[in-house]
Amino acid sequence: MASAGSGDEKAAAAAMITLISSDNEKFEVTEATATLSQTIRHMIEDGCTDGGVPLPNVTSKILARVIEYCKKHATAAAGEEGSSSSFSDAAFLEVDRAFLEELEEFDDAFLEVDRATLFDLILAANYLDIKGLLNLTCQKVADSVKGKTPEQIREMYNIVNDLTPEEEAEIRRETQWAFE
Amino acid sequence: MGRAAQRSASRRRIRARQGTEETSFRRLPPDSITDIFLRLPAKSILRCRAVSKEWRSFTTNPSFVAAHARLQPAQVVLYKYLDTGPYEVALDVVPFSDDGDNADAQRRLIRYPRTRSMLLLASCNGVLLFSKPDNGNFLLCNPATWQWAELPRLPEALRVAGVGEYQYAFYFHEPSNEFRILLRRGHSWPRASSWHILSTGAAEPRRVAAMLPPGASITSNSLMTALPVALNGRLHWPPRVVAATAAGASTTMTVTTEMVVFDTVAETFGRMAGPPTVTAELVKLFDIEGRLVAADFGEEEHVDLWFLEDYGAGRWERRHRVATAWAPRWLAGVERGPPREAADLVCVAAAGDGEGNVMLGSHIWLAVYNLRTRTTRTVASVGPGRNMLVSRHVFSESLVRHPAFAARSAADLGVTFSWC
Repeated sequence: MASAGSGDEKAAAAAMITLISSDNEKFEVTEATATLSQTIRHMIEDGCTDGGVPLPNVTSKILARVIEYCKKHATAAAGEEGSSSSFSDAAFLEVDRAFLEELEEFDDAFLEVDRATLFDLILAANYLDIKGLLNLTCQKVADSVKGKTPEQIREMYNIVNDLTPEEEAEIRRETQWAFE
Repeated sequence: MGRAAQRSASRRRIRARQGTEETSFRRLPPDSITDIFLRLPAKSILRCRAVSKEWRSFTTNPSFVAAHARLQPAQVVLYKYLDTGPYEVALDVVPFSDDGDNADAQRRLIRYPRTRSMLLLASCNGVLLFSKPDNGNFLLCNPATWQWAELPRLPEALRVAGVGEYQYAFYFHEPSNEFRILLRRGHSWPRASSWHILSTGAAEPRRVAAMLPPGASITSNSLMTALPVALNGRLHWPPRVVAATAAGASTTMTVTTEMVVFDTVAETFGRMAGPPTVTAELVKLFDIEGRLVAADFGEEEHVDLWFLEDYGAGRWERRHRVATAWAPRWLAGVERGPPREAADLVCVAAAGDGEGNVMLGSHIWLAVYNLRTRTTRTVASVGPGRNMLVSRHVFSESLVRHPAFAARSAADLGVTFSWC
């Protein structure tokens, strides 16, 4: 179903997908890795991945990072499928826990990027429709806003305050507890 | 240079400062911006409103605010007894993520004098229900928007001396967008009285024809006991044992329990099966992502979590057994194990942070249990010597401004309180 071609040679090749970044760099990835992206999954199902998948919205720098994420999480997804059925089994539970911890460590390290890159990753995750990556990156931005004052937020994200002093005072007065 | 050219030049300047920046939020698709804002607590959302016009309009959009309210975790409300000034009590909530080293994480909802000022009766959709003992009026308070409202007053004939004499439920009626109380005088009255509904959208209480099913009853109505849980437009009272038969050896019992339910749209009562546990009267109900769960606090060493697997068939499964660390002997040397009677029980359970965390609380003990990792963590900021009691109420913050709350000020309602 996944392959548009026929014959042994093509079937073997169909397990690999070529992704092409906006700056024309080619990345060979397994189908399991690529299909973490719903966008690519649909392309594969429609049989239009021959000759590579052009991704004109994603640079090679960002695509490399996205693939790194997908590789790790494709392995994790495969692992989860194998063990979740026996969730009550203590031995399997330990495996799950170790897996989750490893994945968490990976995610934390993965998010050690500057804000511009983080925004690029959100755009890529959105375009490629990769839920896990979108969750992860949006949470990172949310965490950067949490607990900050309006001034700090403006500075962090280069936002010009176009509220009039009266409007701003009104907002602060209405729900003063949030500003203390 | 013409005016139009000037305007466009100034627009270009603004773009140069904002739009082309690699970290400008304008680069992100609206769905992702919504996604990010939905992950913030109410406090951060209010601060975001003061960032810029664009952020203000994003975070005040009614459909955003409604979606945000739906996603807020249910938090256990704590009574904090304050020694300062006139003896006061404060209502605090502890976030799920509180791991003890973050004292700031605790949020104070409201503070008021301890005696004869207000009595917390219930909480629903970000709104606290209070009664004023001096006049018996019911007040609603949203501590996130700092707004108050009042429910229609009961006629003299229906009033009773203490709220403990009422049987009541506090809920949000989706079709009309109204907060409501379903109430009647309790069973200490010689004849069962009829039910009334007090609603934010009405000027007077309305009598409803609904009757409890024959033989059914609602757990005694002391201020200690559990209130019904609203789910899918129905209120679910905690289960009661209706039949227990010894099967074979006298230690094994077959237990049948049932819950009274109230359909808030059709306004009729019904009954459904509860979990088959002998200590049904010590069960707290809550919901996890739309599924009804019963936490059985009746055992010495653990709390069992029963999941209603099939709502229509009333099939319950015990899915988790959570080891407890009851804080014993805290009351003047009184031995204090697990509660043995419903009237003894100020226990509470809540969930809904999206991470599989469940809060379980009793007396002065509060723990977070994770359904995925099956681990328990005691909340450090709650414990002996902290002048803090776990209440039976759960609260989830809501920034929704309901029309009923617009008209009244706290001064208007004669309330003595302060927000922080």
